[in-house]
Amino acid sequence: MKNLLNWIDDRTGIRRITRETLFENIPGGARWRYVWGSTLTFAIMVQFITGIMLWMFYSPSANSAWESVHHLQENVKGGDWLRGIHHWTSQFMIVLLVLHLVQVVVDGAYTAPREFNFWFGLALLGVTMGLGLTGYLLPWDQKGYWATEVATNIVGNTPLIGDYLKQLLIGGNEAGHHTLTRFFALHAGVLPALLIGLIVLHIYLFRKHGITPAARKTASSARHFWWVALFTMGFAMVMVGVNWNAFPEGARPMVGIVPGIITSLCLLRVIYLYVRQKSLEENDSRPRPGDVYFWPDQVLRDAIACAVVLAGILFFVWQVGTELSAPADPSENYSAARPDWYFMALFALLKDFDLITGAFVIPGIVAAVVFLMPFIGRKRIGHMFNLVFLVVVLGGFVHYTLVAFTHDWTSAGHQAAVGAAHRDAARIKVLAKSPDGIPPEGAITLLRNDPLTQGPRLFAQNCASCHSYDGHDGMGNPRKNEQSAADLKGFASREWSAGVLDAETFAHPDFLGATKLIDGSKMLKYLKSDIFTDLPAEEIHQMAIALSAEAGLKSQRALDAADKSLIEEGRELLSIECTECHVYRGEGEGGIDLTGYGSREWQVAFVRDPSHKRFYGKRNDRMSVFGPKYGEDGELERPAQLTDREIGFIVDWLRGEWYEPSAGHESGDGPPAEGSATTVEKQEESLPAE
Amino acid sequence: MAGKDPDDDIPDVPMSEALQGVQNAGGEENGNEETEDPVGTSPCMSKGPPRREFVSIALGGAIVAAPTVVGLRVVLSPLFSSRSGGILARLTTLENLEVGGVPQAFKVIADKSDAWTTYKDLPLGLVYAQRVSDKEVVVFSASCPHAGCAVEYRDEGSRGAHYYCPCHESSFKTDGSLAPDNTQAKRGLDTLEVVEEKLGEGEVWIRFQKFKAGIPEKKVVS
Repeated sequence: MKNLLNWIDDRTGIRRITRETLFENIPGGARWRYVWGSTLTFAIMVQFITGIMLWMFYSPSANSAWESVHHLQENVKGGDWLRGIHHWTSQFMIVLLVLHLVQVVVDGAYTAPREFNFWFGLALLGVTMGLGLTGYLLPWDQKGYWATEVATNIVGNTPLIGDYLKQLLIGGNEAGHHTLTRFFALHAGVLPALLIGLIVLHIYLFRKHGITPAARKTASSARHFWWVALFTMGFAMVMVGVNWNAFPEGARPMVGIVPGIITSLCLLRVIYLYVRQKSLEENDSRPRPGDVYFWPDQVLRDAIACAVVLAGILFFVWQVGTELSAPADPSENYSAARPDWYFMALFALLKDFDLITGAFVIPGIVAAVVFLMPFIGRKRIGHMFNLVFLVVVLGGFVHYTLVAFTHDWTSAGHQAAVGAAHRDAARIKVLAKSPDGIPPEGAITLLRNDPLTQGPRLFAQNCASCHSYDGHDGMGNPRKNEQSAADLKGFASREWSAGVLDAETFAHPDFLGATKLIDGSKMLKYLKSDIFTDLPAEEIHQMAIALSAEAGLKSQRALDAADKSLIEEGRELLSIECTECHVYRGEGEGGIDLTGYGSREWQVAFVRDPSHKRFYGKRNDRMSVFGPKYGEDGELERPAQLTDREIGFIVDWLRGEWYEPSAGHESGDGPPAEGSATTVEKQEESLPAE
Repeated sequence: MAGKDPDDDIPDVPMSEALQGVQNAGGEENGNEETEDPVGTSPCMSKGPPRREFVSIALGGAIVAAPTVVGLRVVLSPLFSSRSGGILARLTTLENLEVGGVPQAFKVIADKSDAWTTYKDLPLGLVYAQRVSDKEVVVFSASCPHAGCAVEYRDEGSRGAHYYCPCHESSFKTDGSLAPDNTQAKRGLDTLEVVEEKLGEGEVWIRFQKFKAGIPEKKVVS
């Protein structure tokens, strides 16, 4: 073994390298405040490893990026954890980098000869933010797409070279395949290479110059430090308390507990320092602790710090997880567009300042001053300026971040937008798991072909000016005007047909009451006549369920099958009672065709042309001919307002015909969803057992 | 290292001097003072003819430049890509828009090529269409002229009807111009060309284009 080591050492000098790595001199002994560099190195290692693993599952193109990330997250065991660790480590990296920067400035570790190392550190912060920005887009979901739309538009406003820079960044004039390939090349190639190079230089220079010895820790300096920490945390707690109502309820335990724990720890530390004051002060009179080597004292502290960071990362992956919103869709009004949290301050800055000032001038000045800090800090007064500047910048950062988040948490509009985004995200996950799965064109087609998603939107746009759906416009929003036609929720259901066969409900605005059709309605006359009112209630019920059975609704399939004999009797009654005015199963003439009433074919034909003689004919009130309109001579007068496909979405949605997983209840039950579809499935399942 | 090997033939002087410099720096840093630099006495120090130096530099430059130029031409290709001039897309029929009615949101759906894929019926964007008179339709792109988020049409009690951007709170009057409380956008909403010919046939077709965000002028980018 020893010979082997010697053999390797002769050829590589590995012993010397190991010795130099582990036995770096640490003046004044190991300290907790030296751990930042190691935790960052650790975080970067995690990012490289998890990043390469993610790479093995990722496919950068506009119709496969979301799909590959979704596959990893939903179908690959542990995939959500892998993505979660990569995502949350990046968040921690930003925080650690800023803490590291603060520590370097506070300790004055940027002064000569360490200027270059300070600049390398700044460059590392910049590269890391670039990694965050590019990584945010890669899943090609709504969140990433819209944030990048804004970010690249800002890049396009860079003075002088903006237009070219944006074209180069997004790989053309518009976002698409090449935006992803370029962002991916930056995220997984260019920026990591820069990162490695900068880290090598950073660590090389750091080893060359050695640790900046911090002032010696004494009992009074420790008390001083922990008092400051306690007051800072106390102040933060007060600020949290003042803004308590601004935090969303879900976030309250977190914003309450985490600072609470830190504050109590600070308090315990202060108490400890006073209790042990005597013995600690005795320590001070002892000679200054000697230098130690990096191994093992400092390594232990570094390892503990890394473990704490890892625990924090895992906690967030476990508790918060990593969001994947619906696939990018530039035609969707995505109102929940926001960047990652560390860009939220910049985002909010753009509300108060114009684009150039907020995105270039202010960040530019801050960056320039920070860059010059090693020179400014040469004199003591300059160092004080640097400290004050840093506090102001960080304070501004925290302020704007809080302003941005508080606005979003208290804005009903934003919350509604987030709700809608979550609904789409949940729905597409259900659809992606359907037997048809994701087609080669990409998952975006799933929502576009989904009646539950498209039906209510088309209804709100084309039908809701007269009709309602359960009192709202189909999307769950209140009506903008008076309802002037039927409420179509549950059209052709048993409740509906029972309502049609009742004079009072028939004349109600939720049925035909608000239309011209009710004026002199023969149907209403019939319902009020003795012929109808003398019918036994049981027979009216049989007629109602028979009429409803014509629709073949998914939600009533089990009921219809169970009531087969009643429906048969009802059909006979319909043939007797209704064929004087209606067509029914080959009998009768005129009126609305009751054969297949409410079936898909019937409804689509109805929406295409309600003025057709099969339906209202000339008596049609205001309902548009949504299909192509032909003149008397059979010439095309105007093309269709809605395609058959679009009419199909509305009809399928009204009929409750959309994909639901048979076992799961995790479906996104949007405002239009009745929640009945899942119960239907249960009924269907229980049917054979009966 | 090459500099340490006496048999290594490195004739150009600046090169070996540079190597020597590196070697010295390394020696200092490692504290290995006792290893005398052997480079100073090595045959590398002998001066080669200046022609070789020139050829080496020229050749080195060429072998680096050739792949770089080819690579850059490819990487920079987006700078030379031509604009599509907009994509014609059908929104709806004229009859479907009420004269003087509220603006309706429409998805722009059309065929489009993106690099290696040609899509059928791809959703490209969102627009608001309003029929201002019998034969006149105004169509706004929903892309905010401030930074490109999607603007919403809102009709709230006290504020009245307006367009609002949920990102940086730009706001616009219903005619698309900047609202008095707008602070961010530098120009009104971008109108899109409505194809007159099709309007005559009762159909609303538009030329869908994108415009540069953030500036007061309306400048086409796609």
